[in-house]
Amino acid sequence: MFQELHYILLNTFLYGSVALLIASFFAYSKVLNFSLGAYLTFAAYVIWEAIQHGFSLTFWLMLIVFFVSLLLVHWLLVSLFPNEKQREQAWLVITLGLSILIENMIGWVFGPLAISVSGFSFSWWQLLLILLLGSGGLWYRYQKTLVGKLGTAITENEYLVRGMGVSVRKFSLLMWLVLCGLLFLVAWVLLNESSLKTGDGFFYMIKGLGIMILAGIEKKEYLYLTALLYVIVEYLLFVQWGLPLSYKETLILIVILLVLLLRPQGLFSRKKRTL
Amino acid sequence: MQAFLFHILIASLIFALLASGFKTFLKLKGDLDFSYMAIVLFASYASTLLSLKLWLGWIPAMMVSFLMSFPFTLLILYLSNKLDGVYFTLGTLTIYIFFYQFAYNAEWLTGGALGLNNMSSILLGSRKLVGLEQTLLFVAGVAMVIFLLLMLLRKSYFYKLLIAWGEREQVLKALGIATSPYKFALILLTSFLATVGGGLYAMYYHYIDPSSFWLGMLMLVLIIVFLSYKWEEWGTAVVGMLVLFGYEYLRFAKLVPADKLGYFREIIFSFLVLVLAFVLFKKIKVKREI
Repeated sequence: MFQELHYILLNTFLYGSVALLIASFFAYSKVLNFSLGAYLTFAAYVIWEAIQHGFSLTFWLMLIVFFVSLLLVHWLLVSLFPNEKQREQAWLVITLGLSILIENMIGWVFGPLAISVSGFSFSWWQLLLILLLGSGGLWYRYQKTLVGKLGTAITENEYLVRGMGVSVRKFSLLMWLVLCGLLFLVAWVLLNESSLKTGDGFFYMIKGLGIMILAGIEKKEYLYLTALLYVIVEYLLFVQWGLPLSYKETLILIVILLVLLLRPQGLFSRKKRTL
Repeated sequence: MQAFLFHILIASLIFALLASGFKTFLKLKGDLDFSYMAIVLFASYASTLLSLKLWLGWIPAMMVSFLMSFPFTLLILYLSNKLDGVYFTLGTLTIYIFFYQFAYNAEWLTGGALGLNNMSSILLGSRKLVGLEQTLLFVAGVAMVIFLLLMLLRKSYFYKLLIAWGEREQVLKALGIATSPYKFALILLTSFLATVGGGLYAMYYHYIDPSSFWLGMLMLVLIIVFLSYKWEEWGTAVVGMLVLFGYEYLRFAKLVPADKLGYFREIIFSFLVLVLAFVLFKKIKVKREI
């Protein structure tokens, strides 16, 4: 019973957090970042390197490459493509290319074997507490605080917020740092609770993307709840009813297609999204 | 050396065909259609299975594969009616990953990660391609016919209507012109190119597995599309030759240890995609917002 609860809550935390990362990066750059899965793998390898070999030269190099590449690509993209329509198509190809580049660089250095760290595991009640605090915090932030509303305002109309004298660049940079912290936290939990190899990050990214689309792109406060619903369905289908586990990754793809076709605004968004 | 050159020529023509379909859609609709790669994967598996299980030659297998891909053509048409811009691209990317996953998981049908091999080189009846020379002649003949048809299409009134649909769909609608037939014709055309390209790929390489159609292949196709974006089909073929030469040279030149070769090639080519996307997306005219 508790083992099953642990499985459900852990996956809710992982999928929900990846969805939160994608949705937040989307909010501040207006584009979907397909390389976030690769960056999740990258972060996991940075942590693994630190645990295995301490703060070695490889660790520092990886850390520098991590932040510089993430910021540089974003800066180049925003500077070179001021037109949002042009940017979203370019961004898609660029982040896919970046994803392959990062995954292969990790493969080159560390090889194809999966990595994991044994030592720490959350109990089910700790996970429940984290999820409740996380969901509650997100809801409070986006519904009640000025900072949350400012983030939504930047997503809706960046130029208007700039016109009101708010430094959007500073605000976005601060959010980026917070999100990078979350990325490392998810990678650390993933390493402790499971294992990871190159290529896995891409499928976590697809899951996060699916959860985000299912909740509604702008509904960040509902991401963990949506992730919980998805994980329960996944658990029922593949654990309780015994569908082949190899099709587990396919479920989210069907969900993405169905949501895009039937309810593109997602489950929790009332207004119809303009496509 | 001669065999290497023949291999480069054949492979580059196949990839030029694949890139032509991708490029045609991008030029006319202004959106990236990743489901194109799903149809390439589907056609490759369908033609291989038809050849292995029903002993069909390449030409009838192609025709049946094209007919079988028809439901996907309708699905993409439906998607293009419902979604636009990045959402359409996202939907098609999902279809691509779905097919890739299915090819991996449906071991009873596709052989899973081990793939399928031994597709015959029979074209029709008892006519069989023997050796690289005959294969090159056949692939070059198919490519030439398709390239000529595409060039004729470009000069036609129908092509101008397709451009008008891509750029000013709302204007066409306001003039009372139904746009769905044009959309359908374009998706059907790119499905046909994907089927022929995928079928030729399976016939030439004699072995396919899901990883053959994964992001590495997509990167190669995108590089050819970006480098030859402003050129016609012959330019696509020339760019295809140069890109494939580089790709295969990295394999045979033994610049890195064998166990690092896969990573090395993907690093080089994904970096190339990054640079090209940054440089060329500024020049590529994407669909206008109306």
